[in-house]
Amino acid sequence: MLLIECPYCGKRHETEFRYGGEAHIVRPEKPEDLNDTEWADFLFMRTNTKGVFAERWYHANGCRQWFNALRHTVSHQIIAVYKMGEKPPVSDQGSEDR
Amino acid sequence: MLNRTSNGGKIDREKRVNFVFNGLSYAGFEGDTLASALLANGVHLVGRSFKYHRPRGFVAAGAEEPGAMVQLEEGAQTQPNIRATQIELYEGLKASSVNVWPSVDFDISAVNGLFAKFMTAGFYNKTFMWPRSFWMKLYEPVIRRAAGWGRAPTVSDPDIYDRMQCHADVLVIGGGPTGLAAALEAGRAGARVVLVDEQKELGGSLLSLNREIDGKTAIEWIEQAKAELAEMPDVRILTRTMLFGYYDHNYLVALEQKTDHLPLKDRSGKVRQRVWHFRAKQVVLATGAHERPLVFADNDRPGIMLSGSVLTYLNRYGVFPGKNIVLFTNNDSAYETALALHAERLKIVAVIDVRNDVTGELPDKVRELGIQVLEGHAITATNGRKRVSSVEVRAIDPGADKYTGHSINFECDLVAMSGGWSPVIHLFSQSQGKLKYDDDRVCYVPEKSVQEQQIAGSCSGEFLTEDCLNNGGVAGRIAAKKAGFSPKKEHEPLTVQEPEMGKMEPFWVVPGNVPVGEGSAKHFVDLQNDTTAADIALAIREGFESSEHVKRYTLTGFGTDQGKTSNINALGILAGILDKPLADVGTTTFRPPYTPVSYGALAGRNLGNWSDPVRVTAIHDWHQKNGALFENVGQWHRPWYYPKTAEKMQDALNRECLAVRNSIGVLDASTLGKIDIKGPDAAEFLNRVYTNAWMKLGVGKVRYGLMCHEDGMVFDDGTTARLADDHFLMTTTSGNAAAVLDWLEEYLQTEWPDLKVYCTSVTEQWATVSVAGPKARKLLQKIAPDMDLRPDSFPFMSFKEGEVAGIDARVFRISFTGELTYEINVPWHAGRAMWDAVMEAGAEFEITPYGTETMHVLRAEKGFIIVGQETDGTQTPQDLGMDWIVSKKKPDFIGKRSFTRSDTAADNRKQLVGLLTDNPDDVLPEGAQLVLDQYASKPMPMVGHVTSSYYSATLGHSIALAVVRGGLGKTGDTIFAPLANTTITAKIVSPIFYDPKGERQDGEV
Amino acid sequence: MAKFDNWRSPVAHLSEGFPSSLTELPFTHQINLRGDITDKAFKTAVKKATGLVLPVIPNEVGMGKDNIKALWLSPNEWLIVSDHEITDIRDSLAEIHSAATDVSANRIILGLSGPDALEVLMKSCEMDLDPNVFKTGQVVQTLIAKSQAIIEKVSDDTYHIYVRNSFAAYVCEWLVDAHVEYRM
Repeated sequence: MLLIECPYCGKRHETEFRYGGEAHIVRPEKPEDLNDTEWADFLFMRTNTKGVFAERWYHANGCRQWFNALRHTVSHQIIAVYKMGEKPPVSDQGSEDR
Repeated sequence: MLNRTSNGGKIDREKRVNFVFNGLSYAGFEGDTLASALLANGVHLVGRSFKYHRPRGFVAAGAEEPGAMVQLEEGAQTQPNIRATQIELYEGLKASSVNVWPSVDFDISAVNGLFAKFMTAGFYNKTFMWPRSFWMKLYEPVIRRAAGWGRAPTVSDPDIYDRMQCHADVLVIGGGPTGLAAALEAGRAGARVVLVDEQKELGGSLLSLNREIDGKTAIEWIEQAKAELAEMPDVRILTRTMLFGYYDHNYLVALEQKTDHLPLKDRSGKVRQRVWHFRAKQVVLATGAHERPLVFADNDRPGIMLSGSVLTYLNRYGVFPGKNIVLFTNNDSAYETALALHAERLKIVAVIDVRNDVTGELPDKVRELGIQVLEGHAITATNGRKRVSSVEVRAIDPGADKYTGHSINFECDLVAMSGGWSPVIHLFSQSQGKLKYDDDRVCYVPEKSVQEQQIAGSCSGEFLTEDCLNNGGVAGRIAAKKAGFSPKKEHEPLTVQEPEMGKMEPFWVVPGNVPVGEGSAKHFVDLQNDTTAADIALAIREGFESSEHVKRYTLTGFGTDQGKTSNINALGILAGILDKPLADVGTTTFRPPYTPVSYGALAGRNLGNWSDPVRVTAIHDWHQKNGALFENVGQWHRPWYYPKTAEKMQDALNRECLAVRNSIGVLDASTLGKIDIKGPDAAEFLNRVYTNAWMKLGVGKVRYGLMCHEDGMVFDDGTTARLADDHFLMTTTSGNAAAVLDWLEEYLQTEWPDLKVYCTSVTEQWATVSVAGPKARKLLQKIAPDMDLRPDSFPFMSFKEGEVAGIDARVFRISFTGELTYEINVPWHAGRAMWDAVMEAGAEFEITPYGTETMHVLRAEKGFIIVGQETDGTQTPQDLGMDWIVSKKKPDFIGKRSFTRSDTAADNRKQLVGLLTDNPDDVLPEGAQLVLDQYASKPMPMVGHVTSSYYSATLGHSIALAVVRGGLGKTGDTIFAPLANTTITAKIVSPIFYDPKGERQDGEV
Repeated sequence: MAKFDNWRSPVAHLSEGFPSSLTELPFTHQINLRGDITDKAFKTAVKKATGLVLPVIPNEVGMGKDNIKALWLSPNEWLIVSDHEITDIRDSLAEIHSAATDVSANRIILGLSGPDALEVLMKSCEMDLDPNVFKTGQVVQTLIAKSQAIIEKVSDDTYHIYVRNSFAAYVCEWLVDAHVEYRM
């Protein structure tokens, strides 16, 4: 079970959180401008990263805040957590080195 | 007790403990395990092997014992497959052999042994493949009876199990020299330390080895360490606690046995076992090492044991498992056992050593005592039916596949073998750590940690006690430091008096006078799974060359044993046959649990009513007292229906339905989710999350809304009221309340942080009493005399605030039944008072409480959907015939763009329809598949399924809702539901069966 | 306190079986408050209406005069708990983007105290509640068994546990059970 640092409440057990999938997928401003392929891409297509992955978590049983985390999908090491709207603090997404 | 030394050992010879094994009474001493007590009584034969039903005895003295499993106790408290080496003896203990019938001495299935040739690796996979129908009836029961271990209890477990969460700076696993030293150093640095050990007392190998530490005996040193740890307020010591699982981010799980060592009569009411959940900043793995067996012909006879375990029985328990002893080894440690046994005046018949030119402190001492040492020799055969009686020894012929030289026969009643030592790397491996093969030490050792951990002592391949103590101390200091503490003094190394150990020689399998696999002898690698060296060779011949494949094909390392003694021998044999370095073969993955854990312990207190929270309303006790039966809706327990004495379910439903249609029914609707939505952008927000328009809803008005996910599929529905310009109260379905709130927060926080809106859950601030029926207004007027209830003042889809029965209330005029309905909301804690007031006022109208089932019937008569019943995440509003609620004007809302995707817009989607069966008494089963051609050949093309189906007392016939491909265009068509014994014919109709014009919603004026 | 006249606790039927270390506290006035703490007008209005300085440090409790306090719930959310009715907070906040929602009937409050309280919580909750970590005047939102709960530490060995009504019986039964070994 992961130990996740909520940027607001501190380190808590995974049982308090809900997973929110890949981070930084922005809902299109004007969905009607997208063709079916582009819309399907937004709806369904996600990277399946082996390595450092930017993802969203929701502190469902705590402060009910959404935030982002960089997690290595093999070792589960959490490299960083950062608030919604912020950019990843390190730029080694996709890296397998850790 | 035949085989006891005259003194010594960590047993209390003043305290006799009586016990029963296989119906016979024995006695041991306090401090014994069942294994040591049986050996003290000369009992070696404990069970029969898994596959061949060969007689088996004790191999080891601890958790690594591969066989020696017993059925402990009887009846509800019986436990199958407990290692006798891990059972602390207690007064009155009862145990029996497993996998034997009718008795351990005479076992019928031992004939399996005669057919052994046909039961090689992959036997199950090959033999029982065909015909398939034989599986359930023949193969499986036979296999289960013959090849199982013990019997599971048939009645529920009376014992109490629980869990405890514990956070530590430094968690030390293992209370041997390494772990004790680590805990001491980490504790001295001020860290919050937890020390966990599976045994009842700390000390580990120090309890078995006669060592002198800084001039003190090992036992004195342990006592001193324990005393110092006891003085440290932040140190917790857990003995009898087996750490069995190591998970991500230093989350570890251990099982503490709190009463298993007590006589049964002293256990009642107490917690028997506790699962400890640890989160540690740092972990020190001090899990020690296991000795490996040697693999030679018929190496499984009772009386063939690990040399170090023999030493443990002797030094710790004062038991000698034999009197005429042959030692067989590839390293020096067996010589220490020989010396200890000799000191007890037991006869050392010979030491058989596979190595040549063996010199060194221990071998020299053994030779000085006049004990015969045969170098370059190996045991090539053993004899004895239920106990080893002699061994045949031959000179090793290097490189040959059989040793045909002169054979020497030694009579003996005990063979103490040592194939070297393997670090206990199971937990390290569970923690995802990378292992490497160490050629010098002839074992796998930890190479790279993935988690915050230190590895020390035998677990890291350092087998000398002095190294263990000093590495352990250093590991404890590093761990404390990394956890944020500063060790104060310099580390002071300890000195230990101990014999030097010479080099060991890997020796993976010993051929007999015929090659391995020929003749009747078996070279066992995994004694728990009856896997032999020949099985591994066969697996390779059949193409299974990777270690993971060999494991699965031969079962090596499976089961409750997880390869503690067998793993590296199997890999060595595999490497030998493949002619590869062992390092290139790679090891298999060790998985939790390290040793078995009962389901009871894992469940803890999450049993019965506590297996999941039971959520109830403020009116629950009234429902209970008035005979309601309950239905689970999410975690809620809601009244399902209220049968009167001897009333059948359908009769109760008919009565409840007709009461609502003709007079008044009352429903506890408190479970609906309620979300307070406030802020200047609240209306805009609703406009984006609901499919319909919200900007112009008047204050005091209520509107129904449908929510979709981005994919356009319906996700929830409910009514929302406008309390003020910037203030709304949303309701959700009972089961979805939390999901909807989370979803709203998600959009507010991640997509639209610019919207000024706050959401607050008020589900349990408000209890809701829903009064429905044509006479509802008359009732409400009685208890709310000051409220203007006239339809033009209080129209459908609006709300009013005011006193009802003297309680401040908010009353909504909405309807899920089609009848005039008032939903009276009051603070939760006043919910029961309001219910009572309504019941009292309703008596003159014969007010009838109704449950969820009647609610379902009534709304189905009106064609109202229930999210999760008519929908399963693949229905759009259009599929449900609810195009009317989808705004065409709003530029965007969640789900809108998906409505025009080619698949979502297709006209042959499954669409909601009503069904009327030809026979009005036929009630279609919910979930029934529907076909258009009842005579179509199988598999019949299915076009949809029934989502809701009831008998409608109001209409006098059954009704059903269904989703059918292109159903909106099939009104009037006939459709069929083929069932097991019959086919029901129905007509596709509008889903609104009752009062399609909505003329009843104002009730009686 | 006319407001609570018709009120009945969801665990009234269980209280007879409570150990002495477990009690249900009397009903209190509770307001769930949301707002932007960086907005000076919001802070001032809250101060004016309640006398409270809202805590900005996560997991802290801000104490006011006359038994009123504010529990930090999130960066923009507090639970105000008071013996007396907080009458004019909504008026004070009328012109400020905020939400002050009456949740007096949303949860019950349990008091858990005594030398075994910490171990009872260790059986029930995954949080690290060690006295060196979780201190008097702190609060956490977490899970007790499988129910959401707010745990406030009010003194060395006393905790207040806020549970939603529908889960209250479940949580009480769980806590009573967790006490059994200490009552033997």
